[in-house]
Amino acid sequence: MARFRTIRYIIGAAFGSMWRNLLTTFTAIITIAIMLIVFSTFLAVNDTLDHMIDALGRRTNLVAYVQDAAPPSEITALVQSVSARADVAEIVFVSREQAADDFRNTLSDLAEILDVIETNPFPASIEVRMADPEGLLPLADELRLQPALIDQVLVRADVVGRLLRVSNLARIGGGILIISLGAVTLFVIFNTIRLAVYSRREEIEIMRLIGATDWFVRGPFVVEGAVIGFIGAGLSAIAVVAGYARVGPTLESLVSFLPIQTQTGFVTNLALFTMLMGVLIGSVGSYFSVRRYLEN
Amino acid sequence: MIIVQDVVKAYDEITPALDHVSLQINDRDFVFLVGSSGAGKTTLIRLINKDEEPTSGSIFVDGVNITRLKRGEVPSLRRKIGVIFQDFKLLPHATVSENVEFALRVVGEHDGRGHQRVEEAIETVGLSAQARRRPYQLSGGEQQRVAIARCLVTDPPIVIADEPTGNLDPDTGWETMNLLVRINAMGTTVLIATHNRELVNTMRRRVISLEDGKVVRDEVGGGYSG
Ligand SMILES: Nc1ncnc2c1ncn2[C@@H]1O[C@H](COP(=O)(O)OP(=O)(O)OP(=O)(O)O)[C@@H](O)[C@H]1O
Ligand SMILES: [Mg+2]
Repeated sequence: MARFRTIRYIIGAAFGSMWRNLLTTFTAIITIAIMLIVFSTFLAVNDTLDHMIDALGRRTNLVAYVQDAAPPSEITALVQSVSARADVAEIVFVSREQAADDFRNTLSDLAEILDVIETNPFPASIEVRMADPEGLLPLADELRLQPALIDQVLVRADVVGRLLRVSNLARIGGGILIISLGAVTLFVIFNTIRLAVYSRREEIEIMRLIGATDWFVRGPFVVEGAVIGFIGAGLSAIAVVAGYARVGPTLESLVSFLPIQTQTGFVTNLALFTMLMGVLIGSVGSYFSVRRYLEN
Repeated sequence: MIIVQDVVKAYDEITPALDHVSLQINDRDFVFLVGSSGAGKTTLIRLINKDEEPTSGSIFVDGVNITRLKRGEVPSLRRKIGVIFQDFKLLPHATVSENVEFALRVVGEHDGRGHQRVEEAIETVGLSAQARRRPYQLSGGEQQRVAIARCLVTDPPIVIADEPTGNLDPDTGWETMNLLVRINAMGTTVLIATHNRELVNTMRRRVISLEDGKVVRDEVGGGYSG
């Protein structure tokens, strides 16, 4: 009963002091919200970039045109040996008929030409998508060594090279930025809380002097930190989800040449993660801020 | 029982605030601690409440060497000792009732009878009419009486009052002293630091005199000639 009363007191005291220090409370909430918005926007952008890079990687990046005279059994063997490579994600054999059909389907305006020329001008081809783009150029060289089977090899080297640079840069740069931005976010939020606690150090001192235990002094601060963190993170989550709902479709249409879909799942997870972080940072930050005044 | 054994407290290297002080206060004692401003009275009280650590020497409260207490054990010492601080140390944002109530909560005794105990303590110091005011809305003397009420409400076995009559007119000062005598009669050990010569001299109780951090006199039924 006494314990229940104490817990009720601690929660009441937390809300009481939030209300009393409305300006500080407000500042802390807004600071937390802004920092988390910046941080989660960055995470969302980083995630979208990752998806774009993946999408680019998903496109066919090597086409080998098969000699018309090549024996089908040897082509089959070649396809099998290429698909056995670890750095190849997917290999598709496109027959001459399929190539013609594809042409008809994708460029229907020009399809009449096929009817005019009567014979099928398209060679069969092997289309390869790499799991690891690094292996692309060596594979192309290998295929070129078999002129009896392969007529020409087309490599999207330009795209691939850029892709490699961008994806490595994005991964390393993104990682560094996430860590440093995360650190800045933590620093600013902790400092905000520390200032709020600092302004009440006298109160803490009085509680200690009349025999309050550490957790009795700390309880309201930790609850307050958790609540402020929750509200701040909640605002950030709302802003990010709403922002993504507006920006996502625009972005999709801007890069419509890429098969990316708006990752609502990611943003929802991000929002939940942010809320959790807010509560955690708020309460842990308060815990440690108060500790300074409890010890000495 | 409080035993102070050869205690030195030096805040800095110049002159120690307490210089090899030894004294003993028994249960149910009523003791005045006198001495001019800067003699070291508040310092001694802070050491007993473990708000400061002695530079050397030991202090025992109820047989426990408090200089050896672990952090987690300090609250129970402070609950045993009710201190009426010279600067009151009231929670600035809390009302008179809330300040007194808070002391009860701290000791975990805010049960069904809590509100009644708070009201009684406030009535005892004559502040019922001001119960809903906050410290900044009170006179110095009224604030001091809140501090007394906060100390009384938990009924600690030891009460230490640091200059409890300093801000009071002679009449109220007398009433306060009367209150302390009454709680002493009910079994509470009482230690009062003061420069109020007149009060000390007429009470004829035990008087410990501090001068420049040294105990210069310790007389039962003594007076204050400082
Ligand atoms: N925190 C501190 N740091 C440094 N010196 C201090 C500190 N507190 C007290 N002193 C010094 O210690 C000496 C004793 O101070 P103390 O407060 O114990 O005196 P007091 O007897 O209570 O005086 P008063 O009657 O004016 O309250 C004084 O010289 C004071 O300046
Ligand atoms: Mg003093």
